[in-house]
Amino acid sequence: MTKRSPAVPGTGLSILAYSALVALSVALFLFVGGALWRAPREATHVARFAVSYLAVVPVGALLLLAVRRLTWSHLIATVGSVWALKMVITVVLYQAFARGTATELLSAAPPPPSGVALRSTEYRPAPGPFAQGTIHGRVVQSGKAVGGAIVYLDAPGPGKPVFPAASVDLIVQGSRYEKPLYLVQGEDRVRLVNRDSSLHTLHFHGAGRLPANRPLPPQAEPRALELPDPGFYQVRCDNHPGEGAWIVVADHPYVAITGEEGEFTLAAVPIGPARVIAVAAGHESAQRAETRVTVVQGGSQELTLDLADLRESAR
Amino acid sequence: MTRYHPRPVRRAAPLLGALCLAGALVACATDVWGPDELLRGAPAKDAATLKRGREQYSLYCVGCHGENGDGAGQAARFLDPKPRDFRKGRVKFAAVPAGALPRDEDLLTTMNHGLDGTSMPSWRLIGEEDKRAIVAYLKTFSEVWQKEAPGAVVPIKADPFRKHPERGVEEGERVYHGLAACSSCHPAYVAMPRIAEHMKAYDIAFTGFRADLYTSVEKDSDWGAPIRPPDFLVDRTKIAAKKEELVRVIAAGVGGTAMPSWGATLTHQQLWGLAYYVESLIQKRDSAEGQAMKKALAEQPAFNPPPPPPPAPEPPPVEPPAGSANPVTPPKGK
Repeated sequence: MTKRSPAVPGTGLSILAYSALVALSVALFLFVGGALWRAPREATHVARFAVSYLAVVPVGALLLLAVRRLTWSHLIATVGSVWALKMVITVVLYQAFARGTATELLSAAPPPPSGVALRSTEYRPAPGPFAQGTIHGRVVQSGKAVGGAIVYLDAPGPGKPVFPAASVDLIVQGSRYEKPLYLVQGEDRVRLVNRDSSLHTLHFHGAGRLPANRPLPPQAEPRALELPDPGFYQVRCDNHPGEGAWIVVADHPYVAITGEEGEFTLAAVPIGPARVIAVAAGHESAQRAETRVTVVQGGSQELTLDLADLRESAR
Repeated sequence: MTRYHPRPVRRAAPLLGALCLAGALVACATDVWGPDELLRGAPAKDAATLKRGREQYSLYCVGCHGENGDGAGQAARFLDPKPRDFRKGRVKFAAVPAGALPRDEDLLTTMNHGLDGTSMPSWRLIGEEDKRAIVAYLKTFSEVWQKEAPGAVVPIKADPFRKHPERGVEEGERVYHGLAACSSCHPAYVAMPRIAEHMKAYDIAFTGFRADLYTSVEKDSDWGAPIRPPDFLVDRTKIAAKKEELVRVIAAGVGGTAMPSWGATLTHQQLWGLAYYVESLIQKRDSAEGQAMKKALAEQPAFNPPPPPPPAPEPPPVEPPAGSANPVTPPKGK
């Protein structure tokens, strides 16, 4: 009787041949479609899984044929046991080396979508006298003076008291806001007025926390509007394209509206660095400019703000 | 064929056992303590929750909502509507007004219910702890979730029509076609003369009906694609079909869409009336009665509009009170 090398139970293959088959399957798993540890994170690994499993069948059959032990029982036992052993090995390797496994998601939070709303910190008046200066200037666009533009500071330090609360009516008539640009300060009371017999909506656009999309029922009683956080917002109507307005919401008194020559003055500005923003708007478009200046005590800073068209606010 | 004598397995047992143990040790050694989260200073409890949430998210959510929570998962290209982009910190359905940051409970409600008519299924079968962990994880996709506080829940008073539901439906029909003018976006569901009656009841001047009054009007949305408001006789509503659910959606609005928040504009009778009315329409969806309604409205006779009202006198010019910030004229001294 010919001495045979020890066989793996049930398979008909020697330990050496069996081990080689397992090693081949694992090697196919590691390298088909590129090295596992270099595969991109979004790789699906379908090819390496399929090839590493399916190749066991023909190669196992060839090995059994070579030792003249090719029977169905040997083939099934060989393939089944190699698959099971190979699965244990490759699961461990996959967990250890694959960069894009389902449990290895590592993602830095993307930056929030940018918008045009400018946030001010909560403003507080100075408790007593404070060092202050003045900012003068002009607002222009393409060299022409812009009247009716709003100039304001972003997040000024403690300074003069806020203005007394006033009423601001946002009036819609003929599917058009009465004015394209509104200024709301501090504790102003804002009312929504719809003089049309159709439904309008006050849908705020901008980044950050926005007020609810408010409906304005036809010819209904004026409704109060809660102010959004300080910023620069666009409101549009969902039912009437082209109907819109822009609103500057400021929680401090450092705002000014330019005269016919585009001139403005901001008085009693706390000293230090200041960010000055100018906005102007028509019913469907807006323009904006900003600059930085350092206010010195008793001094007067002269600025020119050249408006540029503002892209549509972030939706 | 050589007769085969199977070898005893005793010699193989230690080797197999060693392999299994090695595999188990390697599998357990991966990232048990959440080192990334700990490096950022988060406590171990949060780190464990986030790790669990990340695992669950990657199992159930990543295919549609994407690795970065941007709604651009591998399946997203085949889906309409698109999966939610969690980076915005806003969702469509919540108990807080549209535009406010949703609460955890709102996210869980959507996960439990799913969104009918979309590819968002109900995940009710996932354990409660796992769902909360997913919510905690998806809030890491944007600092909006850390910077803002969730909005306040829109208050809903008790149902005033629970003993007389037919009154609720009547009130709802009036409000739907009159005061709230819901048919500005949604279809109308009564004949034109009746709509004119409802408008007159609210002293709303009749200026004509929009074209295609009995179909929805597609509206822009903040989600990157236009949205067609549902036709309640035809379309499935995504998250609310019963009046108790509908009243919340009507009051809070649908975030990022043309559906406004009616909670601060209508009385609670009007809100509940709308909910009753819409529920009555939903109950007729895909039914013979609903189809008969549609047919009758499409075949109604031509409508003779009422004569237009006399033009209203021009309102007096608004004089701003002293110190007003309203830029009617450039205020002095500011």
